[in-house]
Amino acid sequence: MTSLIVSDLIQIVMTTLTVGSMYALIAVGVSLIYSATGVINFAQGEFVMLSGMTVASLYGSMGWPLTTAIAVALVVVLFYAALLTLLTSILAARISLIGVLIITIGASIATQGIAARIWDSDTHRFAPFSGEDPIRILDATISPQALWIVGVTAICIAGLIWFMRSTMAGKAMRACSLDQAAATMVGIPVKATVLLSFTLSGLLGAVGGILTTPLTTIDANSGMLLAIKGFTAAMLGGMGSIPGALFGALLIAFVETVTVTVGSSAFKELPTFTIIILVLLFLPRGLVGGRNEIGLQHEDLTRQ
Amino acid sequence: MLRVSALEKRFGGLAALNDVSFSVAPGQIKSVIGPNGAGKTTLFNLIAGTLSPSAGDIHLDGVSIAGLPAAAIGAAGVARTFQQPRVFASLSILENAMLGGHRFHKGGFLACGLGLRHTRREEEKLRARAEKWLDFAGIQSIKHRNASELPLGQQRYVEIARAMATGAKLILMDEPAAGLDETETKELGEMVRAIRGTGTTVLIIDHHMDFIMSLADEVLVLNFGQWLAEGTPSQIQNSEIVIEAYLGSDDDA
Amino acid sequence: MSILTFIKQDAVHLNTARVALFLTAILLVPVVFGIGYYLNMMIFIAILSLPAMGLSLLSGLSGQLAISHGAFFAIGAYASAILSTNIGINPVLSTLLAQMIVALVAAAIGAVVLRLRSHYLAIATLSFAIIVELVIKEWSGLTGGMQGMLNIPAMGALGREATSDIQYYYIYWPITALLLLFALNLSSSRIGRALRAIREGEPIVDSLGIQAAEYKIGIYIISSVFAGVGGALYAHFVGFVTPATGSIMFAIEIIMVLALGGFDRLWGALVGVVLITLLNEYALGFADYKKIILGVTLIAVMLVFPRGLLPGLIDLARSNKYGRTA
Repeated sequence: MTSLIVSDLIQIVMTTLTVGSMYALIAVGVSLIYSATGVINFAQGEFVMLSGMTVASLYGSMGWPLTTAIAVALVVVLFYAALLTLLTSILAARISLIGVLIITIGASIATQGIAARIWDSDTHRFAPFSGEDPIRILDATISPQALWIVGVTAICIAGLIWFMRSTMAGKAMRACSLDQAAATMVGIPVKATVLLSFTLSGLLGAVGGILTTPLTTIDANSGMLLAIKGFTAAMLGGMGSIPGALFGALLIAFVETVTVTVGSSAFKELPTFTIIILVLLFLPRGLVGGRNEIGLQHEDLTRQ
Repeated sequence: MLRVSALEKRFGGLAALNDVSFSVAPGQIKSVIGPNGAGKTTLFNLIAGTLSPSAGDIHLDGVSIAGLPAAAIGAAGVARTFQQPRVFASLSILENAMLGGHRFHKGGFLACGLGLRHTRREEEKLRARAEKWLDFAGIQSIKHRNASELPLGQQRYVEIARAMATGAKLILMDEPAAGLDETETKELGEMVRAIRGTGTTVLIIDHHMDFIMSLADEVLVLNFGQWLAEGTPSQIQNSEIVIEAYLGSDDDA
Repeated sequence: MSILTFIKQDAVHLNTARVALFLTAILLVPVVFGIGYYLNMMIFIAILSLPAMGLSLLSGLSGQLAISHGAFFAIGAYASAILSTNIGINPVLSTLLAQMIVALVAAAIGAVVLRLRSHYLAIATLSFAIIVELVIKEWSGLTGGMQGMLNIPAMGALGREATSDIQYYYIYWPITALLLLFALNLSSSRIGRALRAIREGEPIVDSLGIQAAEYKIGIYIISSVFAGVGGALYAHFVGFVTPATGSIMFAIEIIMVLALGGFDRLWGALVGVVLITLLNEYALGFADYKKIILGVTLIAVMLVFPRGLLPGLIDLARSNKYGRTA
């Protein structure tokens, strides 16, 4: 009896960490872009989808070496990040933030359509990095891929935090997030910084896609729901805060895991989206507290 | 008609306004002066309901309005003009003034959507009322222009027409003469007197001493959030306490 | 006073005259062109115009964007379908009752989310839309789950049911025209004026003794009911509903309509619906191509004409006509 409960707990913790890692990679990416530009990137999930699909077809179906497939996936995502930078920040410099949100929605569905033409609309996966045999801890079973996911995510996010705190480029990103005009005046190349934020954010998404596809599978339309989960987590933690995004992601993953464990998997998403409405209402700065100010002139859809 | 008693507003630990009491008689022009940071605009925000007081009370014609939502205070008969004129830039001047009388009419979403006859009659009344006050403010001839096209000085008159159209008993004017030249300031003084002439009470913040001293019936002086002095313009001009307070911050007097 | 100046003085008269002219033209179409497949498309245009006009009211008057109109379309469709199919209420009555449900849900959601603005409002309404889609998919006892609901009664009352496209055409277009008139009147009334003012500065509006928050909730409810009516009309016309009725893709399609017709033009919403219906009908064989065209068009329109394609083109035509100084 006791061991049953303990193994349940281990299972819940491991699932939370695995699912939470995926959400965290997206949420941190959303947060990075929001910090640098104020834009909510609806197409964030497409990074995950593109990388997952690329590796699935090159490594899974065509039998390329895994490392080559991953390298190609990263290049694809980098191109995509550059394209999004162009569409949302460089060409759309004078458009309202909500207009840019619409642009990223357009980018997201166009990408889904293009992916479905390049590949197909079926689900894809490829073999886990360390085989399929589950590891048993007490009565809990854990896929070795889950350990890959949690481990690599931890390294990536720790690396990102170090990058933001300790390198010139990271400091420039933080300066931009505080005040773009001031950052320009002290000579920070704002456009390059925005490109950097999209690039890093794209790489995080790519890592997520490559790590989780063996476990969760992927299809051309997977991106949108992942993106929504990602910015739910980012808002939950407080937009613009990396630790906040991490925390929000783990919280959502935990709520989902518990819902599935004690209730039904059918309503897995229900608590998540109820939470976001409640958080937006009562804690507009999120649970941890991030940046949250929007210029009035930017809020209106029909003005520029 | 307005009685402010022991009013206090704290932001965190800082008291922006501390134990301020005064009253305004009906039909009076009363001025609030004081160096920057004296708490004048905070006082206005408290009376208008944009902020709610930490302590103390505000009575309008004997009814407490302290802490009520801004819309309720507006409906109780307090209107205001802002330090930076805040007109609705995308609307015409006429429409700006029509919004002043808006609260008198009841036509709801359904009645307006159906275009019921009474909503159209209301609209005519609203328009007539707005035109009357545009006339009063001397901007009737440009009523179809967009409010954003006007220079700042004229936007002030749009605000005045809009505030008067609300049928307010009390108008709060926050530095109406800011940015005006001498002639314009003089004209504005005439306008404020005309407002009083309609029986409306005026509470006015301003830095132009000549303007205030020739205009106000009574002057209230605030300093660092505290009541410093109150009296007729000549009493205030000769008050040693006031002169001392102002010598400390000569530049903005 | 001539009739023309009389009409000019009163916005309601002007709106009525325009809509009457429009409706007459629409009603004459089958007389001139006879009965054909195009009628089916025209009925869909009448139906889809409703959520589009609803969203246009919201974005045009309050400057805000909600992604919840697909959800309210679905609530209207499912509510009327359930009331008429399971309980046996006649479709006219069930369509009306469904709107009470839509209005109640919109009031509850509006009271909650309308304190938010800009993309926060968009995300909150998107979350609501996702919840609605999930509930529809999972509450299969009531909604039929993924299979949806079949055999929804045709529109009609007192034993007289619409059976052919031409009958639907003559029932639905007058409804759409009347709601268009309602929307135009609302927009040019004191309510519309107050909402336009609120979007520029809620505190100033409050200082005039106007409860800004009530107006925002009011327009959200009205705007959602427009979508709900569209949903109910849709359910009784096609005879079935599925979860796709309220999907996020549909919500995005409505936004696309406004991107084409302009975010603040009711007539533009109609034009947008016509364009997107033609796109759906002729240009797009596969769902994938539809997504690509939809996505790319959305991006292109927002980049080139952020206020919408139609207003952008009109501005362009004007500036060409009057030269660069205009």
